[in-house]
Amino acid sequence: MGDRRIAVEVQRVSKVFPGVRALSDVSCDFRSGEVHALLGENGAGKSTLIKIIAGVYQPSSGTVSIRGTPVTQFTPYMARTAGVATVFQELSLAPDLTVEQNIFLGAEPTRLAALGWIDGLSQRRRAMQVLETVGADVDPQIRLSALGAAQQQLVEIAKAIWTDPAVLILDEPTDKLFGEEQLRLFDLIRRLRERGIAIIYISHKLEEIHQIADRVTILRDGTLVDTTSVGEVTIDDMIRKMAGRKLGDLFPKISADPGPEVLRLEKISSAGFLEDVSLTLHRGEVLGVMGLVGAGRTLLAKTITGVVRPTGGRILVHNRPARIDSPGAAVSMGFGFLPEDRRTQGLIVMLPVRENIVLASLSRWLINHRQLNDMSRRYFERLEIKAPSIHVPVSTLSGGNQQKVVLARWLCSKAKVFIFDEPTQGIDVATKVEIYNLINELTAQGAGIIMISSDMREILGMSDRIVVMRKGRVVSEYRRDDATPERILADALAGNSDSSSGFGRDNQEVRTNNVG
Amino acid sequence: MSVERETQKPARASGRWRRGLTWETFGVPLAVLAVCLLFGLLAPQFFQLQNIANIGRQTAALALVAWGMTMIIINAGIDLSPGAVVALVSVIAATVLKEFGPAAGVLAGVTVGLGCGLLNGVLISKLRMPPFIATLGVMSAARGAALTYTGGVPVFGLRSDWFAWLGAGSVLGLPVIVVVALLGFALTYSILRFTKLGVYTYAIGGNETAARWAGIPVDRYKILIYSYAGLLTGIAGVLLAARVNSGQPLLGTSMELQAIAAVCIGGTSLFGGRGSLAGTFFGVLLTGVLNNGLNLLGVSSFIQQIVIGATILIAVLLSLWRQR
Repeated sequence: MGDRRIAVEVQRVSKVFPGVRALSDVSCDFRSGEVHALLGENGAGKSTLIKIIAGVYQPSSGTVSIRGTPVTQFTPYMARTAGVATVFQELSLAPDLTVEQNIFLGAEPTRLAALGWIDGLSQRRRAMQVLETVGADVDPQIRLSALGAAQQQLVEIAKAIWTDPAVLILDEPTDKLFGEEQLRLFDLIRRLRERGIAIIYISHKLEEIHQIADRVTILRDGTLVDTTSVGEVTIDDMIRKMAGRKLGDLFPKISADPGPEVLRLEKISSAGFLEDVSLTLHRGEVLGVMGLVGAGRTLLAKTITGVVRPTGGRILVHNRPARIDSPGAAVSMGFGFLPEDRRTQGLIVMLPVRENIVLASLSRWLINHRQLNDMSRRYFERLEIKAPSIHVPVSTLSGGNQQKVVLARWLCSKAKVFIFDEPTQGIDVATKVEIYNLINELTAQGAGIIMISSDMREILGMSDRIVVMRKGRVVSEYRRDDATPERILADALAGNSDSSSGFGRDNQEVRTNNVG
Repeated sequence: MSVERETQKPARASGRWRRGLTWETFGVPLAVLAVCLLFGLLAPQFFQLQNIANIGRQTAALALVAWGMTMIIINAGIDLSPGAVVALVSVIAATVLKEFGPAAGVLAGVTVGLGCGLLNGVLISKLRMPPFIATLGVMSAARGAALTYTGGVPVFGLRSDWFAWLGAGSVLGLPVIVVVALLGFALTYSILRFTKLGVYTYAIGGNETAARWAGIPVDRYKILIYSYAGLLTGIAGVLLAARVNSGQPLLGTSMELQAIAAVCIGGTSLFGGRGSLAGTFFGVLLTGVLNNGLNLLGVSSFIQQIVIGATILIAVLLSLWRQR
């Protein structure tokens, strides 16, 4: 591989933002026909590096060469012309345009170019070609919004590769993919590799790296740790290099003695989807809720926290029937909710950390600023939130630290019953462990926690009891010691025998990649 | 990962919310100062006490409306109704005053303003109407009500010295209506900075879903915000009626747009979650000074509109550049 052509060469690149040194003196290269994984925790500088390669940022010093030619002008357009194609994590497609319009957006084949008359036939023909290349069996004239997440991603890749790029950057491409979709994406990546494209692959899922990558580059705190061939490193090595220290057990579970019951659901039904869901939660206990996406787990969380009103059944809090008809009611009963999507449901990102922390704890009409500072600073320090101060907007924090801010809010409000919906999704390993430690701390202090997760290892690693949901019902319950991934998966999938072919069908997916 | 990118954005946005050395804190005040100096040079009477009091009188009512508008816009809403509500308030205050005396007239006017704000709030929160549409409807209805109620004819003949004093008198050397507008500023500033309502105004405007999920009774607070703005509009209507010493069904035309303009010039984001009342203060002041100075220079009111329009565009442009 050593003699392969170098597609992108990064030489001693640094990038300084006001107050932050995002990259310092990073050198590496990406070669034609390799899949090159780029690893690092949140804030390690991965995104900054790919944005420099993609022309979004200009480096403060150092050079970048594409196909041997040094880049002089850093604009996305120039990068694209030079042969860099990027598929960012958030898809950048227009939902109301057709597939072919999306693929050629901004570069439509035209007839009578001055008039901007789009050559529909040519566009269609070329769209079909490139869709075939990526293995998407999609009508180019269908609206993008009609497609599932997996197919939308293929369209995004089609959009990136039709120009025949030298480099393809994939940022967390498997984030929204499951099971077979993921395998198909890997096949596609391998085919693109054979065509001589250099693929820069960013992922948090370390299990994937050995399956797909040829070489690995690890960044930490904006500096290069090293670049190695993938055969030479184990997952543990990678974690160690990313974290800069040896990590203990990834799931430092400490079981507390469960106390009295704090929450009981009796035959809760909701909006014709949840059916007769019954479960209990005790003090000092973590109740894991497992199920496929679409099994009703999030709806369950919303019902418990009053976002959605149940249509039947009753909820008992501390053995007393409770009317939870709004999130406000749930909060006043001592509930805390960590929503699945912290940016849209959990945080007010333009407001400072302080306001986000105290948001659920303002009991008095008048505000004492000193008191709010003290209050929020206490949890800011306790959770070791990494930010310059409690007065910076939450939008400037990394994902893991944003999640900590939401947690801090509920610690601040003295919540006793927590509902965590995918608490560690998209969060780096070190912060994950911190959150698990915090879960231990909370249960030791008598909190009850319902933890919804798609990550099987997390469910098995951190729960005292596990309930499995399927199609809006609770189908089984396990004690920690009895649970195995196979049994849980079998329960979650039972009756879904067609799920093995469920490509692109959102309600039949499980993150099998996390099973072990 | 997605958020990692955010970390790299310089933390400038914070300055808009916190007090700091930003364009919003100094840019607009500097512009006000510059415009004042310019007018002072061109028109010697500009800096006369009489004229300064005039500027205050001319902008006080607009200022009151703009305070409420600031809260509404920070809350990610908009209110098109205040101009029309001011007219309705003025005619009702005037007729009630003729019948039952000045105190009743003032009370009736303020109540009408509060009621219209309450209506806006209920339409927007409970009935889930977009603020633009809801307040557009209330605007049209209120203007229509004012015209119907008076048959399109102004209500004259208010024989109350006290009411006239509200419009033309002064306390401690300051025009009464200016004093009221400043009190309104102090109250609104305190609400935004020192009360739960203030924090929630920013929170709901920044991300309504997250605010709801944090346990904030969003509907209740929205109603409160629109009602408070309605109350200020009611006071503005009464003061304007006192100034012209009559009830005018055509009062306050396009006042809502002037208020929105002042809020924008003051740097409050129309997308909600960000903004400051101090900014609005100088926004109001800038429009007031421009109007007055151009009047003094004998510039036609038609051209004045062009100048105000250009000011809005420049202010917004500068604030956009700053964010680059």
